[in-house]
Amino acid sequence: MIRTFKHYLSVYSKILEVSFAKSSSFRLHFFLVILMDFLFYLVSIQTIKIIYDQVGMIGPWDENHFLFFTAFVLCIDQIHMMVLSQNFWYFSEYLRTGEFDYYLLRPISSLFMAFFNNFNFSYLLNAFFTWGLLIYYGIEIQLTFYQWIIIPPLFVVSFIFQFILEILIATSMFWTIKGLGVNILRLELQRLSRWPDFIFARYFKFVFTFAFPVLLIGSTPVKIIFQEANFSIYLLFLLLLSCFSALLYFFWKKGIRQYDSASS
Amino acid sequence: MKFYPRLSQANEIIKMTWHEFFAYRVDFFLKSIIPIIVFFLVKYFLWLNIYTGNGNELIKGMSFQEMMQYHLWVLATSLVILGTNSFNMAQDIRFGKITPFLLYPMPYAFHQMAVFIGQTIFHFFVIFISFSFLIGFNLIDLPVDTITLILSIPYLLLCATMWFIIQFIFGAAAFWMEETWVLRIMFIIVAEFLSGKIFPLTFFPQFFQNLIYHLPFPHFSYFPVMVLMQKISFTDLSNYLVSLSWQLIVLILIASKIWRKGINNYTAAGM
Repeated sequence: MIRTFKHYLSVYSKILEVSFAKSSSFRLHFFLVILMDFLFYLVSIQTIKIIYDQVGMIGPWDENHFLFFTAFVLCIDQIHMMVLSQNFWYFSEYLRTGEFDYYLLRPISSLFMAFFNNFNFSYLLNAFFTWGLLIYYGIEIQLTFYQWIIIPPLFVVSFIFQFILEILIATSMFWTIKGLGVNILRLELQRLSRWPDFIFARYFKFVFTFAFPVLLIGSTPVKIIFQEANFSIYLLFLLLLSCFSALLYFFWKKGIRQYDSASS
Repeated sequence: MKFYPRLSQANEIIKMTWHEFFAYRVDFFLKSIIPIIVFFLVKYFLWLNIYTGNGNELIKGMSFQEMMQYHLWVLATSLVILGTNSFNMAQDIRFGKITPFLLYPMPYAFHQMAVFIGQTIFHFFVIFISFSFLIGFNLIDLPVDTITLILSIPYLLLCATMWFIIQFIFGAAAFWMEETWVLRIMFIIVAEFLSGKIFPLTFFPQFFQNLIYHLPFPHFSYFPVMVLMQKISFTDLSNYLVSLSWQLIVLILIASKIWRKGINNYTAAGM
């Protein structure tokens, strides 16, 4: 087990080296990506602020609570963009052109190679902004020591949850000719997860909490932090995480059997 | 004399564009329909929550019903105006795919424009059918004035042309840059915010509104929606048309200059 972990770690360190070399080759692009994400964060925060200029509360949250939630989902987004995002776009291309064959031949998990093969260093600098926002709004709403402590584990679980759900969606590319539509679907579900679950009506909330739980990614951890939900929801969160991991394992295996090289 | 062959060329390209839409039906559904559903779901529930939660009848002079009508029109105008075909342009330049167009008796920009028109017409029908269905079954409340709708078509087409030219300029940046998608996404992020796609521009402070009204952004959502909702006077509309026309002329000149400069840099093997 430890040997396998070390092996994967050494592979990932090589991936990081190559990705760094790639990122530093295109310096203008490197800075433009930072600027692009900065604009996205700014627009996300400003949108909430402008809406709150007109109203005092949205659901049970005031402006600072809502902005803390937004900062939390932006932190997940920043890590996602840095570690995973690019790989989803490449994955559809690799399936279409047959380059995925090489991932199947390597003595390492094909899923790992498909989704961890590119690391985007441009997004690393944006972490200061997103985490800075999270800390700022955390101070504004006067989080207690206990609330600060539970943020990192909840963040990790949320990130893994999003990762599993998105790969599950991406596996459908084994059955489609073009991957663009699937990637758009993935981005649209991300867009849904950036809003708190209380804004949705009961039936939609149920579907997007249990059937396809994108609303759990941001809402559940933040509600646990705000102590609006008890810890049993955390257990449900972990239970759903296990279920969707099993589903991912099943569909990934099925997808690989379906894969027929360049004609897949 | 040259007009008719051009028309038949455009006709063939438009047919090919539609053919592609129908060939990849799942992809079309995921690309075009899912964003509409998500967009509307989020807008509907968010504003419902804001209006009911705060007991507000009006926000910035708009009732909940008007806000929903605003967002439905935003949805419709976005599909008609904000085409995506020039997204592949950078790839065409980098991989040398524009070479045949330098030899064909058909400019590359003409081909792109014809694809854009094909997309726009197709999206217009998608909107027309889906809105007719939703209105017919009383699922949405959207008063439509036929005369306003017909009169607004030339204005909408001008707005769509401006969007196309801006996207064309970003695509042409591929003559000098390795990756141009980042420029396009940056522009889309800013445009969505400043065009009134997220909320009406009246939500911004007055001085900021005055500033934005002189930029191209409101022509992508806010102004067309205000025209369709009959919330502007004829004088306002003619002012918008004048401002849009000169912005369009400037953009066409910039685009053609960039294209000519880029073509001088271009090697047939790509960039």
